[in-house]
Amino acid sequence: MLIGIIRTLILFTVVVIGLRLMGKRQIGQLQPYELVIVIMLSALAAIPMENTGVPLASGLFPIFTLIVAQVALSYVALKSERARGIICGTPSVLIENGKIVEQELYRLRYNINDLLEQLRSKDTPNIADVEFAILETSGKLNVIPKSQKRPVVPADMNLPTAYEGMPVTLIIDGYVFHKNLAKINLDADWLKSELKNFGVNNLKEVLFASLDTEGKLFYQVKSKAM
Amino acid sequence: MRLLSALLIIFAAIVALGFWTNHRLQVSSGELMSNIEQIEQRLESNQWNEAYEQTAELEKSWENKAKWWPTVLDHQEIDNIEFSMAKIKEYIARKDIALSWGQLAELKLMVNHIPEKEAIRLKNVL
Repeated sequence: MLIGIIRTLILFTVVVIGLRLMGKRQIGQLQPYELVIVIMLSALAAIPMENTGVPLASGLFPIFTLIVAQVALSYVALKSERARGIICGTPSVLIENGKIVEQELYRLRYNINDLLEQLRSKDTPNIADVEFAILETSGKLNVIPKSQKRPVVPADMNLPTAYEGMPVTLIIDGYVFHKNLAKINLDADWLKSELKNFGVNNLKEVLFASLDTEGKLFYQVKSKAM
Repeated sequence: MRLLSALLIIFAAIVALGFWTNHRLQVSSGELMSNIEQIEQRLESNQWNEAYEQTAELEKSWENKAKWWPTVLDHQEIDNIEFSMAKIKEYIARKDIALSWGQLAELKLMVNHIPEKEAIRLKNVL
C-alpha cells in the first residue's frame, strides 16, 4: 500500500512536469495529436500506479518518450507550414459571406445541427448575420459576424477613450510582490505608508491590494474569521 | 529549441541505457546459466552434496548479478525465478532426482527467457 502511494506521487510529479514541458497550449486547446498524448500519458501513469509488480521504469520511460515526441512535433509544426498542415490539420471555413460552404461540411462530416448549435452558443443564431465561421484545428468554431451585426465600439462613433492599462497586483494573501512594485518605480515602504493612511498597519493583514493605471490603490483586509 | 535539445540528449541517454541494460541482462543471465549447468553436472554424477553447494552458489550469484533486475523487469518474473530456486534447493536436499531435473529445466527456461524477451526483435515488438 505504501509502495503504491510513493509510486503514485512519483508518477503524478512526472506527468505534471511533462504537461508543463509540453507548454501552456496543452490545457486549453489540444490539437488532435496532443489529445492522443494526454490520453496515453494518463493510461501509462495508471498502470504502474495500480500494479506494483510492474517496474516504475515501464511507466516512466514511455511517458518521457511521449513528451519528447510531443515537443519534437510541436517544434516541427512551428518551423514548417507543410508539417503544421499534416500534424495539426488546417482551419476550415464553414460559412462564408452568410452562406454555408456545403462541400466543406460534407468533407468534415459536420452536420448542420452541430453548426447551428455552435452558432447559437456564439450568440449568432442567424446564419445570414455571419461573415465567416471557421472550424479551427482544435475543433473550436470561431464566428466573425458581419460588420453591421457586431456590437458598437467607441471607434465606430469616433469617441475618444482614455488609456486603460492593467491594474498591478501588489499584495495577495499578505505576500508583497516586490517585483511588481519595482516595475512601477515604487517600493514596500510606499505601500506601507499608503496603507497606514487607511489604518492598515501590517501588510500581512491584507488579502489583496492592487494599483490601477490612474494611481488608485485598491485593498481588502483579511476577515478575522479566516 | 533548447528544451528540445535537452530532451533529445536525455532521450538518447535513455536509449543508450536501454541497449546497455539488454547487454547486462544477457551477461548476467549467461552467468546464472553456467551456475545451473554446474548443478546439472553434479546431478549427472550423483554428487548430491556438491550439487547442494552449487545451489548456494547459484543463490549468491543471483543476489550479486540480478539485484537490479526488478528495476527493469516484471516483478512476477523475478518472484517466479526465486520460487523456482527455492524449490530446486529443497529437491536437491531431499535427493529427489526427478523433481530436481524438472525444476532445473524450468529455471533454465525462465532465466533464458528474460534476455530473449527484452531483446530488440520483431516478434517482441509485435
